[in-house]
Amino acid sequence: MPLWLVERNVLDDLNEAGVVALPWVVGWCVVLSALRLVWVIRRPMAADIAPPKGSSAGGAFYALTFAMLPWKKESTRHHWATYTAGMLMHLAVFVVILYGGARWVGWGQQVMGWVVLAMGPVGLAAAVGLLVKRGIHRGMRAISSPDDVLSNLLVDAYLLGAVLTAWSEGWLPMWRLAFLGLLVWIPLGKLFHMVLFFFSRVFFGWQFGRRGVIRWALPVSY
Amino acid sequence: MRNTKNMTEETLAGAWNLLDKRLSRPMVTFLEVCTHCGVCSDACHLYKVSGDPIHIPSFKADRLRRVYKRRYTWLGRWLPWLAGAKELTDGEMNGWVDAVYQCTLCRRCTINCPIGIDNALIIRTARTLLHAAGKGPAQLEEHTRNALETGSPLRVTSETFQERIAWFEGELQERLGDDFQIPLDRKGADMLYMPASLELMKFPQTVMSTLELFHRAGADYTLSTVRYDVTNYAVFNGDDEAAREIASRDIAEAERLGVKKVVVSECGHAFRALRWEAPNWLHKPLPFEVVDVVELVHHWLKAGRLTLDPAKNQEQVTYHDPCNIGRNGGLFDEPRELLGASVKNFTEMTPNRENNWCCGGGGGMLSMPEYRETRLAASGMKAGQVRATGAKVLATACANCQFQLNEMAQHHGLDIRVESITDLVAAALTKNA
Repeated sequence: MPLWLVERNVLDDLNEAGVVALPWVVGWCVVLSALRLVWVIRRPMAADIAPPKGSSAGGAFYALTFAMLPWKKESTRHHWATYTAGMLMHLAVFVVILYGGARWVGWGQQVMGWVVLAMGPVGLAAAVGLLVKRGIHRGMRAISSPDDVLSNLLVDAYLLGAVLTAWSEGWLPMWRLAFLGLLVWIPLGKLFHMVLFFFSRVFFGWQFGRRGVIRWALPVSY
Repeated sequence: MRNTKNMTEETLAGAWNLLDKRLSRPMVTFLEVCTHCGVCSDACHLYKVSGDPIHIPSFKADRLRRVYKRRYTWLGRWLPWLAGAKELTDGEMNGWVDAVYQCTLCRRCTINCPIGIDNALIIRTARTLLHAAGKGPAQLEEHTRNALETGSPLRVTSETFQERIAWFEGELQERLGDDFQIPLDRKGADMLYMPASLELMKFPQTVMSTLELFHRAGADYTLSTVRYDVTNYAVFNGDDEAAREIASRDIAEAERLGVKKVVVSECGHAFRALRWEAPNWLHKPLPFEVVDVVELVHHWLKAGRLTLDPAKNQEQVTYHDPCNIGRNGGLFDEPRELLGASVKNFTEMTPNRENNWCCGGGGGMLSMPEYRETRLAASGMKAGQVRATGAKVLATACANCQFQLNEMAQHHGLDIRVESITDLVAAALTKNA
């Protein structure tokens, strides 16, 4: 821990501010996320009237499960590095959330701390790698918005904070601050895909399943 | 020619109104959920051959996404620069044109999106707005107007159609006997066969092959002298009202004739429009079944109504899955089983089925001469696939694809012959069928 931070009581101030702000920010995140989700759900669901050729439910199930296997899509096979980095980043976020949960309930904190120390840096490196790719690849720059960059940085800070806290408890205020930033941003920016992702996969699978495009059966070949 | 005329306030309000009406739950989800991971880029044949970011599917969808964000999201309203949100203005829409019309709406990116975003749905909606603002490509718009005014995007009149039918009848009588007749406007027939103008004028052999198959299978069918062109270009230019109107006329004619089934010719988008979209446009189920001719012939083959000898087609054949028949229509096995029974040597190209590369001519690209170079360059992916098979015959089930594939072969120096499936099936018919 840098001495100047300890001497000036900055961490204490941050800790206090974070503790006070946490319930308010959680409330912000929950309420705004719910409102955003309700707005999406309340949009009309256009009826698909044409007689089906395949199974909508089967398509949706497939889209949420086996279709997500990395070798199932040409794009994820070709972009295996990007896909793997994305998976590692998401896995690390998931582990860090569990670590936070373990700390909150006071059970398994030490074990999860080790997992975070092992997984966190990998996920962080992956996230930073994705950010670098966004910056240097011409195509990625063309499709990126500031929200994409900010969202990545917030996740980076969250992962970094968790890793540092797992290493030394003194970093907890920093991690909490990063967590607050993440909670503020979730209902506003692209991080909300963590909720809408499942809807999108279901809508995709529902239609392509209905049309008999994605199926369980093996293809006919000659 | 691109139309960049200024929009009036009224037109702008109309565009917003249209967008609002199109914001269904899936549409909003697809607009909100993109993480700009860029994985879709290589799934697009246009990007693959050009490397131009304008052809990245999420870039195209972002043209509409960013004005959606400006109006419908908190971040877009409060901090538009952070969300990458933009106002819907005349200049903004002018900037959409090249991105959203240089797309074949093939949905290969959708299949390959880790999140499942239907970029084609978003891009077609952007076209709807551009059409409403009078900014659609001139020839594509003209083809839709032609269809409304004359019943055919290529302005094929009923007289021309009937002349063609007389010619087909004469040709087929030589093969099938003097008593062969093509039924026209026959009420109470079991099915209405609707060809496409591109076939009538450019690929008449396909129509003749189809008619021969109808005859050999003993089908109870008719053609209409009123609705003789099944194409619906409004699917491409985003003119929802015209799309609905064209489909309504086809449906009304089928109802007038009292048929139980409408057989859509080898025309991918027409099949998609009538089979999958029309009931939704009209908010009611159709009073008859809609089948693609490939489906029907496959059914006849399975039912033993056609006998085929694959030895009659000895050359090596490969198959191009038309996007609107396969990826958008679920017809993958039927054409393969037909080819399996009709040709001696069949080789699959790779990738195929839902991962098949688009020929480059879909989404109305054939009707936009300003993008001809892009279209032919984009066919490079398909040309590579075909070349790798070593096939001499390239079969497909869509006249639009057939036209593009012929140009592709010429452009990329491929020594192949492009054939419709019905041509190959008809050539494999045995005499005792």
